[in-house]
Amino acid sequence: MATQSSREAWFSQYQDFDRDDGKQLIGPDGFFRLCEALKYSMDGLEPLVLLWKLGAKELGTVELESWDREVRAMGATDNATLKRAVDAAVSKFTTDFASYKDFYRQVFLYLRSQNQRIQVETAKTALPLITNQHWLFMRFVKFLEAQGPKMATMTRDQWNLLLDLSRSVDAEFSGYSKEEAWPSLFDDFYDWVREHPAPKPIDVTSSPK
Amino acid sequence: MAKSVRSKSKIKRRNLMRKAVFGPHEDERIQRLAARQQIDPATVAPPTAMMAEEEDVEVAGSDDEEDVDMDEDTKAASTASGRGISKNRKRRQLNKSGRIVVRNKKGRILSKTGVKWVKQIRPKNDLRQRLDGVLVGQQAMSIGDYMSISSAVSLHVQRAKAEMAAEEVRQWVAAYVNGHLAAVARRLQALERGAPLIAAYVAQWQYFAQASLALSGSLSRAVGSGMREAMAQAWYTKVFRPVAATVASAAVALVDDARKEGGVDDPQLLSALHSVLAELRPTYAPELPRGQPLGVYFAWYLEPYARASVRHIDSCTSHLRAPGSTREYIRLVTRLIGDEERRAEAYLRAESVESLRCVLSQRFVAGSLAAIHAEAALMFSCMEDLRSVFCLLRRVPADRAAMQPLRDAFKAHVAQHTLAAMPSLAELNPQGASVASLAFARNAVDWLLAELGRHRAMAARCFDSEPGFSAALLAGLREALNSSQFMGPDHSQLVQAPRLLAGYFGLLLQADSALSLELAAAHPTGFEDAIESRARDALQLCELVNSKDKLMRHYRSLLARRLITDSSASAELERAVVAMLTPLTGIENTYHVRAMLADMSLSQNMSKQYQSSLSSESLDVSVKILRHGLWSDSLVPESSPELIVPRQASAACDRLAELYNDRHASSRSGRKLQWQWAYSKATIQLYFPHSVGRIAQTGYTVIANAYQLAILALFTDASCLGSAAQQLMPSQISRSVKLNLAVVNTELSVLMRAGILVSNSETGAVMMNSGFNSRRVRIDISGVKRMRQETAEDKARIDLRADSNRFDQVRSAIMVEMKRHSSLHHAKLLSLVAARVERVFLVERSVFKLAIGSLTEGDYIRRKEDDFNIYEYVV
Repeated sequence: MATQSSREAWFSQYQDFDRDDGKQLIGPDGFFRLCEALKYSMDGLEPLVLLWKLGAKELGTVELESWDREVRAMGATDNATLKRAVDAAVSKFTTDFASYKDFYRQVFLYLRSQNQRIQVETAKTALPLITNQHWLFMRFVKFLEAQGPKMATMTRDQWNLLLDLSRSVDAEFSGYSKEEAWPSLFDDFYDWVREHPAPKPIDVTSSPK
Repeated sequence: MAKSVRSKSKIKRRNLMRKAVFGPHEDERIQRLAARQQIDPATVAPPTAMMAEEEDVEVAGSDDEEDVDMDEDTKAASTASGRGISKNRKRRQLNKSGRIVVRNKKGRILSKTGVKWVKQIRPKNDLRQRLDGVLVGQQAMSIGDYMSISSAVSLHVQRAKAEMAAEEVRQWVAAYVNGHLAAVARRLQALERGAPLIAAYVAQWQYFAQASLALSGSLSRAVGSGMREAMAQAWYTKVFRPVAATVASAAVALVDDARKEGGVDDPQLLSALHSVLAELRPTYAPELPRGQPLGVYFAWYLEPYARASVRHIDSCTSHLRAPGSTREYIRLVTRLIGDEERRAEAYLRAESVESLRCVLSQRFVAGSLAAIHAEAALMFSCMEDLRSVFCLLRRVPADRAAMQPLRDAFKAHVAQHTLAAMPSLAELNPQGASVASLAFARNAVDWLLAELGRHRAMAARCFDSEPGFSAALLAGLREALNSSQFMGPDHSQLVQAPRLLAGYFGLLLQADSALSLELAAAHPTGFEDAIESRARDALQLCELVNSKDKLMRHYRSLLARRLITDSSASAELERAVVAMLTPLTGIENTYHVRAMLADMSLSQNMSKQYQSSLSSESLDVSVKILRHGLWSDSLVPESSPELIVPRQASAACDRLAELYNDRHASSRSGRKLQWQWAYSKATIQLYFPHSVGRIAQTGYTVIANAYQLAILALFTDASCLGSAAQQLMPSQISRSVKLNLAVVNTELSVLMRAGILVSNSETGAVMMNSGFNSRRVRIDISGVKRMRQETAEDKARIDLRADSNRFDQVRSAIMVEMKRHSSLHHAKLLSLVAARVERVFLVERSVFKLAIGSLTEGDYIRRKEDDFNIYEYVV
């Protein structure tokens, strides 16, 4: 078990010492170095999972307090054990939906812009990545592309409910009802899907990731 | 001294008289009664013996309150004793027979000396025997017999009332009557069914009723009240119940026979049956058991009657049960059921008629509802058939499911007919005016009101104006008015009901519209009443418009045009129509139009105030105060707010601004006047030096707008440029009056077209036309009245603003409901919000969801963690 001093020493390897506000945190550069040390591609899922596991509140930023708490909770003492913990969390997503849901919702907070919404362009990139190219999310991305510039952002409510939608409908959208409280964006999505039926769903039974 | 009645001579004489004089008569009577009852006279004790026994028998008893028991050897304690026997003799006789010991139940000796003698009571069976003697053998079948029984019983009971308890008399009479009535019932049942049975039943009841009346009257002293009811109850039990079913079936058979012959109008038969059936349930019969609504009558009489009716209608309509014959079936069944009901009113009691109606309705209407409803949807071209269906369905009692499909079909018919028959835009607008001018609105509204009247007449004729059908009519018209197919698919985007109706009000209230002029000509004295009446008619259609908020926005736009251009028929009428619209659309939706009318009142006051402070050199000015935000939708954006106006006009403007600021100085409202030159005009007098003719001397009266006035002032007023200009280039004019060059060119072209200004073709400069000549004294070139026509963009802008306003209203309604309930299901919240705003518009699901999205994003509400359909209010 690593001591607090050893964890702080580990943290200091990536800490941003150039900050004027005196906060002890790992900045984007430090987080990039950490991912490199863990041999994670920045285009992959793992950096996001790492952020989530380290209790980060913003994208690419990890505070010492959350680092200390989460590293201790994971039982990580060095980069190798930390990598193992992150990989285990990724593999657990397929069986533990609550855990995945927490991660999915946290991703919105990482990716949102100043107006508390997520840009559609960002969503189109992130959704296939974090959902392992689940058929519904892929269809949704295509729907967003079809909307063009009139659809610029997504709200947190829409983002969160998209995951619930993926578990409520089948490839034919037969479980969908406009009478329910789905956002109007999903009603439009439903109409679009009916007009543009997919030739074959990739996988209708598996849950995301 | 006379002898005692107990003297031997008296007794001897009495016995002699009984034997020789009364005895033969008594014997003869007993023989007669026995012969009638067919019993052996020998078994009947002769009255003489009974009477003799009565003289000698005395009954010993005890009045001791304790239940006394006697020794076995002295059980028959009564002894015969002559009246003349002395006490000593009795005592000796007692001694001879041994001592009598009286004991109680426990064996305790109460008396050893002898029994206690008590008052003598005549034997009870004595009276019974006497009454039996009187009544034995009576099988009365006539009223006379009943009366004789009654008299005899009455006589004997009077004599025996001291000896027989009232209850005993009652029991005895009841027992006797029961026995007698059982025999009557047996005889009735043995009779031939049909008319003889009915007649006998009626006759028996009448006899018995009179006899019971007489009997109860004569016994009332002896037995008290209630005798008659008891006897009636006996009749009900003994005769009515066993016989009524037979009588009823006989009556039904008679009715059936008559029905087969094609009529039942025989008055004698009717009368006889009436009598019988009226007695089927005597008033004293027990109440019908609960939970058995048809009661005994259904079982005894109505049931066979109803069966016969059903059989009859069935046989008449059996050939019309095929799917293609529903219309004929409806017609025939309507007629047959009507006949049966009229027939039943003659034969059945009122409550039974209702029961029969239920039976027939269930059998012939409720059983064929689907086919009748399907056929009814095709019957709207024939009112008679439609009425038949309505009458038929109305027979199915308290069944909404029976009538509702017909109402739905009526609603669908109204909607479809209105959409299909609505004339095209070309037909409604024969003058060929543009759609934007809304000139066709008059014909369209007149046609819709006529359509409403036609359907109302249909509802009255076919459905008796039943409220359900009136509501269906309005619902159908509402559906048509709010349909996207209204006025045809091509024009649906250009002309929708809110805009159409607003346009109609515009035509009605615009002083120079064809409709308004026509009404003024037709009603020279009651012009305003005529307009109000028309407006009230149009309100019927306004009520059916779902988007009343859009209606009011279009109304507001047209009102602004009327008020700005002074083309309103009357301010009073404007206020009256707005007052009519307010309860319909809600006070919040008429706020703007009411405020606009208030602006006009303020403007009038301002003008009056200005007039009162008018000096001789001042201009006669009239102003309109248009509050910012109320009118901006209707106004052309100001192109030159800094226009330099002529000196005289400028002074008037300053004075008006002063008056306005004084008026609002106390309120500190920060109000500021901004002149709308595009809507200003002035009347000026122009003189042209080389003009010839009569008018040239007096000058021409020119009505010019503010821009034209400013341009003309450059040529006529030396104060503008230091000296009156001869020729000016347009650019110079633009700089001098600070007016946009495009506007200057527009106004110059108007002035040149009117001939007031002329252009130098070489330099392009303009100058006054000194040789101006015109036949008209008054020339209007202001163009203010020629306001820009409302374009499709204007309409779209109005709709867009209405949609935006709806979003805000839905958002507010959601917040109000969430605050009240703190947690609500999606569907429930939607229904509550819809109910809140339904008077003004229908909530679209997409708008509701967008409002929800907006509120969740703002963290005013959130979704429940485990159920996204439930919203929670975030405090």
